[in-house]
Formats: sequence, C-alpha cells, structure tokens
Amino acid sequence: MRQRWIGVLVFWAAVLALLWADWHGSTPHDRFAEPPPLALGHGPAADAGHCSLAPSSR
Amino acid sequence: MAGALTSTAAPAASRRGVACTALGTGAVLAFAAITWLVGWRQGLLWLIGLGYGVLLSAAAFGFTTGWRVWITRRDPKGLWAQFVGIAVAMLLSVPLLAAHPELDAADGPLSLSLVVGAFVFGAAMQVADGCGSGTLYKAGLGHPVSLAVLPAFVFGSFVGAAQLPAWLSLGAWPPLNLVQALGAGWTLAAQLTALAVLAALLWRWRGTAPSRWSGAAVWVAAVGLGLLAAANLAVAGQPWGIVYGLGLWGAKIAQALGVDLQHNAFWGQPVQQAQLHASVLADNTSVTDLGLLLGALIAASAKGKACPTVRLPRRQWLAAIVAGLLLGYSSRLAFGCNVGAYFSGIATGSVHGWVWFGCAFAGSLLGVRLRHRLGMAD
Repeated sequence: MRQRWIGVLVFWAAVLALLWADWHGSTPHDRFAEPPPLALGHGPAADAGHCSLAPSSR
Repeated sequence: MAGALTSTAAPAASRRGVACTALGTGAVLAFAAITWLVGWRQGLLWLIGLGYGVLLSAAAFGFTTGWRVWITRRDPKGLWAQFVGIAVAMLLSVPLLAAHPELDAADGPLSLSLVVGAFVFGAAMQVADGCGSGTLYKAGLGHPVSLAVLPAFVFGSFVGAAQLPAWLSLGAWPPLNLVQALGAGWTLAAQLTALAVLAALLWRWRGTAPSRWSGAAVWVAAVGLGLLAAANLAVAGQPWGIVYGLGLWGAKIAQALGVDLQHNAFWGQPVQQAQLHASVLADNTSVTDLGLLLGALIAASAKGKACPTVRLPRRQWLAAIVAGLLLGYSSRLAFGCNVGAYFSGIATGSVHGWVWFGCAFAGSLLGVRLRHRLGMAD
C-alpha cells in the first residue's frame, strides 16, 4: 500500500517544486492589477492562451 | 470471517478518511494561495479544475474508453454521456457567446494539420489509454502508465506548438464559427439535431453486452462537466482546454534548460513570450489542469482507487510513452484534444470541433487495432 503511494508522492513533490521554481523565476505578479473575477462582461486576459488559437490569432 | 473483514475494512476506511481530509485541506489552501497571489479569477478557475478532476475520476468518465467500447462492443453509453456533456455546455455557452462578444469560442482553423493531427491523436489515445483529460486525471490519481505518459505528452505539446506555424503553411482556412455565421438559435438547433441523430444511430447499432458503466454516476458527471465548462467560459472568457497548458509547461522547462525560444515562430510571438515570463499560475489552462490533477486524486482516494497497481510488459510501457509524445504533438497540430477541440469546439459552435471528431474517431479505429496487436486489453 505504502509503495503504491510512492509514485504519486514523488509526482506531487515534483509538481510543487516546479511551481515554486516557476513562481520565483517568473516576472513578479502584480497582485493589485488583477482582472475582474469574471471575464463575462470584461473579456479574457490579453495574453490568455488556448489550444484552439492559431499562432497569429492574438 | 465477517469479523476479520470488518477489522481490515475499518483501518482502510480510516486511512481513506485521513487521506481525503489531508488532500481536501491542501485543495482549500491552494485555492487561498492562488487567489491571494494571483487573483480571484485564477482562484475560481482552480475550483473549476478541481470539479473537473472529481467528476472525471469519480465516474471514470473517459473519452478514450467511451469510443473504444463502442468500436469493440457497440456499447453506446460512454459516447451518449459525452454528447450529454457537450449538449449541456452548448445550451449555456452558445447564448453567452451570442450575447457577449468579449467571450472567445474554441475556434480553430480548418487546416491540413487539423486532419492529420486529429487522426494521429485518435490513434495514439487508444494506445496510451488516455486522451488529454484522461491522461491528466489518471496521472493525478497515481495511475503508473499515465504518470509515465504525462511528461511525454508535455514534451510533445511543446514541440508540436513550436512546429505549428510550419504545419499551417501547408494549407489552412480561417476558423468557422456557427454562432457568428448562423446565430445562436440555428446553431443550437443544428448541433443538437446532429448530436441526437448520432445518438440514435448509436442506439440502432448497439450491442447486447451489459454496458461498462452502470448507475447514474456517468450521467451526473456528464451534466456536471457541461456546467463546469460553461462556468469556465464565463470566468476565463475562453472555453475549457487542456493541452495549451501542457505545452506551456514544456516550453518553460525548455527555456529554463537554456533553449532560446525567442526566435521560434510560435513561442517567440509577443503573447507567448509574455506567458513564458509569467508564472504558470497566471495561465487559465494551467490552473484548471493543476486543479484537475488534484481533484482526480481526491475523488480516487475517497473511493479507495488511488494509485492502482499495473503490471505491463516493457513493450507496452514503451508504446504508451511513444503514444504520449504523439498525443502531445498531434493535439497542438489539431488545435486541441478531446477537450479543447471536440468538447469545447462543438459546445461553442466551432466547425473545427466536428472535423476533429470525425478524424479522431477514424484514428481510433486504427488505434484499437494497434492496441490489440500490442497485446493490450480492452
């Protein structure tokens, strides 16, 4: 049972480590320039990416 | 005997309770952290992602399996559930898109890359036994094969996006959206009729074996996924997607390893460069993907189905990882996977979603044969 959980624990440790490294290596986020909670009525973030977007769509 | 069963079942239930409490607490703390660090929009998307993961995992809602059991056993329930989910999302999303032009549909170009990518994706998802959402949710709950497939999927998505402009130069028409072309009413009428006709054909050609899914869980999951997909559109301004986030993770890892992406035709674009320099927590698709991973683990832990034991020969492991690479690469050529193109594309009126469905299903016919040749079980 314990052995079965090792894989998922290693996976989540890697995910958290990558998120930590990414947060500290990225451009600092301006917490107070956040978009409104809903895009409805305001639109998506200017740099929002989606799988269906062609390279020159935005 | 009954006493022995009770004495082993009680500690197992207790362990499941502890695991669920710990994971649930982690999910709430992550919501608080994302909302505090990035904003309410990303916090809400995290919750939506958790919901996706819980529903997919709890009901074993699989796009890949749904298609495969139809191909092999004429079991229509999985495909019907997918149509219900798409229909619920469509009934809410199409009027929203018609009334709110600031919202984006999942509009992909009609390109040669779409046809090739969707066909290859359909074949590869049968060999990897997971599509975009399936690989993510099964990796989240600790399925060893999906844990091995996911890194390959991430790398393939990164490379596929990097080479997408070259593929588009082979031939492409602009996206065609039915909401813009016909209006909300006609789009709903045409697409719901098409889904109903397909569902009736599945009924006509159904097999006699009992369905893989019993009970109401798969229907609850289908309706829930449709509602969450509409919420995704309202919160993010764009439909539910999976693979853009995975490609972005691959590009960030490549960039951290010193790969210069500034001159790449896709990743070098100003909008992609902005994404590459921001945290993944600021990316809509990444946040829902991460929530989906944890939601799947929570639901599987509650049912005692987390971290399943899988024994496969080396050849099948290798085939699954190669299929993962192809899944990632082809999903970027096809402007989405089963979620971004099929589910969200059709639900938001994009014609590329229907083209994707036809080509990927044709690919799955080949993929199921490949699966049998590799000795993989249905």
